[in-house]
Amino acid sequence: MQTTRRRSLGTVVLATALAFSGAVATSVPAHAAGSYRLTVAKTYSKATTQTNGGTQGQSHARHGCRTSSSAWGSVSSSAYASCGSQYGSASAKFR
Amino acid sequence: MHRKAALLLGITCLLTGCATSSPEPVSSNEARLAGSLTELFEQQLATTDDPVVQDMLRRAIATGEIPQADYDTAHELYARCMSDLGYEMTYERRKNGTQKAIPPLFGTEEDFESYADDSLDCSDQLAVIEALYLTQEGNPGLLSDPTTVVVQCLIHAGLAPSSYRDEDFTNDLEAGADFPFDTNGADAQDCFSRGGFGIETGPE
Repeated sequence: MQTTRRRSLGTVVLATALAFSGAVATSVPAHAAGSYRLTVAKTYSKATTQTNGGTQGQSHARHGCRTSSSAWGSVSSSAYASCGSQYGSASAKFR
Repeated sequence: MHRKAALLLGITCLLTGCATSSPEPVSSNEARLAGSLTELFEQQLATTDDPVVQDMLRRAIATGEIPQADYDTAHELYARCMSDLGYEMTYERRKNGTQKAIPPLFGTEEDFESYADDSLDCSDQLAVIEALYLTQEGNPGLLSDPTTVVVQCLIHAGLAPSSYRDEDFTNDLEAGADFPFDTNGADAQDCFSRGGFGIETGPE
């Protein structure tokens, strides 16, 4: 399942599906490129980005009492959070 | 506030097993990002339209480095922007000079997603400068594989034995960040960030 959203759409996607996967299908500027991977499990949340061509990625993960935000990365970023046994969320951002 | 995002993509997932995809292949341990830092600065300048960032990159190309002061300026712009939006953020400077952002606790999924969106919008300058500064300070060998960067740092810092391999790090992370050292310690956090990892663990 691929899901790509732009902020101008004002859309926040709350997943109830079993899996998400995606790649930056359209981009501004045209050289931008990247992919992301999100994992939310009972014991942790994780987000990763991989980018190239001058695009930066940032990952965010939230799980229980912990929220992790990666630094911005030109090649990759990864955020991992684990606290207790609650479900969490993960998010990947590009620019 | 300058809120021109070149590209935005945000996905949030909830439920167990929500997992995914096929990331691009990871580079080999020997691969390099570029021939030099200056080359990276030049590549980025060609794709950057923010005037503040352009000025910083031109200085970096002339001197061969991004000074701490320019990173701090970019971060101050981010921090001010987030503060103006009402976020009570805390920042901790890592050993490599970058700032670790610690957001407040989020009560709802929507709050978390809004934070991620706002953080993006406030990063017009920080995104480029932080990515390059972190490479400059944390990855002087310009290694392409972020895991290799982290593992080399962990070994050098004495947190992991010299026999520790990239696969060990990956396995330990996949096993619930079950590392043979204090995950939340300053040295570990420094090493994680050098490879672009933000890792936070709390009580079971």
